[in-house]
Amino acid sequence: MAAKKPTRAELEAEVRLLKRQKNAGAIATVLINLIRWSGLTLIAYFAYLTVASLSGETTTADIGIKLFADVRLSEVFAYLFGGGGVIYGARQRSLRRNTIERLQGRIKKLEKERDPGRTSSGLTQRGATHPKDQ
Amino acid sequence: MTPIGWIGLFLLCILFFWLYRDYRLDLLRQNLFALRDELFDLADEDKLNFEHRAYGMLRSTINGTIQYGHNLGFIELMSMFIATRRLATEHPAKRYSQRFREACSELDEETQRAVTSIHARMHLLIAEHVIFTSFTLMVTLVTLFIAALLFVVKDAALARLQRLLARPRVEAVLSALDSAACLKAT
Repeated sequence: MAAKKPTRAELEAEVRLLKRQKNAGAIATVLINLIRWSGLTLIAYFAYLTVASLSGETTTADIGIKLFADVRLSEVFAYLFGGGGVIYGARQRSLRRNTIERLQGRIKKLEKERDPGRTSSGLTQRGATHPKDQ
Repeated sequence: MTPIGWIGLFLLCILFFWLYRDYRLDLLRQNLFALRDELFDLADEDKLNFEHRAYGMLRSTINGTIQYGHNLGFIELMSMFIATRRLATEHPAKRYSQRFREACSELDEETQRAVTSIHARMHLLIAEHVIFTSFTLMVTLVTLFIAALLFVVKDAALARLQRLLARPRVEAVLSALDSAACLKAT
């Protein structure tokens, strides 16, 4: 059954919805960046304060020694474990994206044979957000 | 707290706001691709025509959600809800859900169930993504509570979440989201 053609009012409502959604998205992006960056700045500021409290009494070398003297061997292992996990995750991600890149062309071609009107998700060939959609 | 502790917290923030979110986005997209494949298989088995409205609408909606998945979040959803709740009565979301229901009613019962199940599971994936990437929900421990529920009583928790998503107010937000995704993808 063919779809009923949208009226002018319906098309205008669709444009309004998209415009409002775009504006809401822009406001949300500002809010999210504000939360992210103010949080990070605050943490960096407190870190600076703890280091600054040592200055004047000691030299930079002393501060460095004090910082690392506080770190126990068990903590070093914990940081290495955490950092290693992040690197492992990044490598796995890049591997998965390589696989997507390798397979997606074949899937697209085979699916097009069955459904010539096949629509796409609009992601890049590696499965990431397209720069124009950012 | 020692400087090392602050540095740890700083790195934890980077992990949550960037690396973890990127991972959740990839997970959402991967699961949506699986749903889209399920829909394709349904049509490939001739249970549904590739030209059918229900197929076209659902595929476009899934495509739009995949494409703009990076814009899905708790704050984004709240601001979208506030910005679009006072749109005129000819709200595209109402038209979208009406057209989708009409299109599904043309299908046989079994296919109808399969198509609406894909649609409902897409909403569940969106809800899951929003819950697990929200900083607000994370710090208020709502995320932890839901994660624990999903771990202990997965089926019951999923059924409850599904019922919550079917509530008229929540459904209206999801329809607005679907409608926008479908419009953007077409």
